[in-house]
Amino acid sequence: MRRTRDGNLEDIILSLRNLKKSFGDTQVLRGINLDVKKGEFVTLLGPSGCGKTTVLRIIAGLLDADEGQVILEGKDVTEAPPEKRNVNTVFQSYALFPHMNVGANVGYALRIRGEKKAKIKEEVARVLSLVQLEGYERRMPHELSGGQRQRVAIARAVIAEPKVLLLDEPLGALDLQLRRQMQIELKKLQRTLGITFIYITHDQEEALNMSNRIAVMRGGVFEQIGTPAEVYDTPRTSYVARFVGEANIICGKVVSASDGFVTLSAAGGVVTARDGGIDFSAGDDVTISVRRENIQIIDEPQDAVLRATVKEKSFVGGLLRINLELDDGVEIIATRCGIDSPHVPGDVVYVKFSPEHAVAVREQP
Amino acid sequence: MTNEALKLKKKSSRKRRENKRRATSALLVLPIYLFTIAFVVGPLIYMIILSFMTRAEVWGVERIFTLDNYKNIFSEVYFGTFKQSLKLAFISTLAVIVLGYPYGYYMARTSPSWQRRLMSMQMIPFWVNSLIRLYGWIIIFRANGLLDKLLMAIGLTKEPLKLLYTYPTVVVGMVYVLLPFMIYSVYGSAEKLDWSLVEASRDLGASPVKAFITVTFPLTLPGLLTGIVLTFIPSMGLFFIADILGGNKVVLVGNLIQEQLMKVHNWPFAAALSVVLMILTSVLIYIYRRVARVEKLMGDGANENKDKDKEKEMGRGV
Repeated sequence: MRRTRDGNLEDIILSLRNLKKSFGDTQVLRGINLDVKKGEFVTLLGPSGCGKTTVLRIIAGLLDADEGQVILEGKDVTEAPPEKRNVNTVFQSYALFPHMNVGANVGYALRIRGEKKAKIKEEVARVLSLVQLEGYERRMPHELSGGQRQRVAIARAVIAEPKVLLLDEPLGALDLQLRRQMQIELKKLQRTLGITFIYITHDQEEALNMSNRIAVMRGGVFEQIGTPAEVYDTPRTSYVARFVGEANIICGKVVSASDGFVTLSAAGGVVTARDGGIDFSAGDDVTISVRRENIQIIDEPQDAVLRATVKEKSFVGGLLRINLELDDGVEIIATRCGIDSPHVPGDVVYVKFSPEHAVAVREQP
Repeated sequence: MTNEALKLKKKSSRKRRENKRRATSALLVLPIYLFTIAFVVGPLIYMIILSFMTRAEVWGVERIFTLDNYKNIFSEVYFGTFKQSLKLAFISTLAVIVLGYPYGYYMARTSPSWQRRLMSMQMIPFWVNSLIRLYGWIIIFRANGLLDKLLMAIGLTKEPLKLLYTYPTVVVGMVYVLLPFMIYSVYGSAEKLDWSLVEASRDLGASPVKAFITVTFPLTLPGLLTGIVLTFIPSMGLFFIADILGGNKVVLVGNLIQEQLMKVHNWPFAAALSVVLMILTSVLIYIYRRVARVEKLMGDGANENKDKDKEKEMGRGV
């Protein structure tokens, strides 16, 4: 179910075509394809080591791909050096020049380009006010806090008005509160500037919160590319379901399939789920994903329920978390509001979820 | 005993203990002080005093105050020696920079296996005394020596060049002895350089040359400055190089001091020469420290960035 390109071809600012890259014997990228539209906020989401930074470095020109093409505004820039690409990067470590003050750091791109001093000064002031650092020109990077350095790094990268801004886990080093605040500010900044953002993170909340589209990456390929709602509600693979929605995965055999729904027998019960666009016939193996908050726990057996044993209860992040073990030994987690529930570990209960809240996913190795 | 008196006693005993502790630590550092006074400060003061005395007619020194020794330095012959020393130090340092900076920089950037190879190329000769190695240069440079034979064999020259005991040969000797100091200073700086800074500069539109000028060079400047100090200052005093490779033709301050002390036995004048040389090098070190202090401050910023990066990487278990 590859997402079709909508909009005109001119709207597409950056295309990645079948990028492949190996470091020694390890294949880091195994065919990366992505079309990014003008003004879009695309997030590459994946765990560390999945190759997302490698993709970014290839787009920036800091790394050569073994195979494939990078097309920027219709031009093949695969072979172009970084300084010849209208793409700028906000580095994970910020990479602020320690021997230059904030003004010189931010104005660097314009100075290299040979702009007039007065114009640089004006532009630096303008961009610094965008990131709320008015009057910080004369400070040195080491005099700034982590959050301020981050803003300087962003200001430095946007001053030359790149076609695409690449952000490599820019909020990774900040504490949670500042991170939440910066998420909002970055989103606002992106809307103000109208620059296309390609953003890297391993934090699914960040991805869901900020992006127009998310590309979930694993082992050098994109497992799913879609809007946050698509990725969250209709994960294509069990991996996406687990990584993005922290969903429960239940495996079974198809009993029947019709009208976009699939009925399966699993863990000693029979349940129904959306088929997620996959064609099923009776007897097929099937994997479904159900998010934690959609799992109901009832005491008496009904139709379409699964029997389970309560294993553990904990109160995490404002939610009560109940770990349950299904009859086939699979562990699932249910969350609910409130600080406690009447169930105690060892209780036999029944698990229920509405077919709308469950979706069949592909099981990929 | 009243309460007050008790308190007072307590207080005084605490004070006594404190004093005792201080006395003990003073006793522990005393040998270092004694050593420094006896072998560094003492001779220095003696040398300064000596430089204001008069040379005795036959042997030794007479205790008559005079400024003649210093006036003598500014006479044409001796002042010329100073100028020549400075010139040689300048030329040698320049050559050492040109050869040593790229070497040290490349050594920091290349693969670990090449790093080891390049390092041992510098280290292994150090296992042999530098004086002995200098005699090796005589074999190469002397008339009909290795170099002459080679040049004549390939037909570049027809007769021996008589390179030994010339100015360029002394420069070669200086560069040869001092090069490792530059290489390791630059290496130390370049190795600490956070490469993502260079990438950032390329990303922001700088060509490789511009990235070098605006980022790499300023950030490796502290190493270069250290290398300059470690090259320039010794090169004014390395008299044995000028002696061995320069014969009597190249006379440096170091040679002059040695000559005045050992051959002419004009100790006060040798002392005055030493004092002036010392002042000269002190001024150079002072300038270096003024410049390097600013640089170091900036260097710290770079390292901080790098450390943070490492921390993060480790935290995420990559």
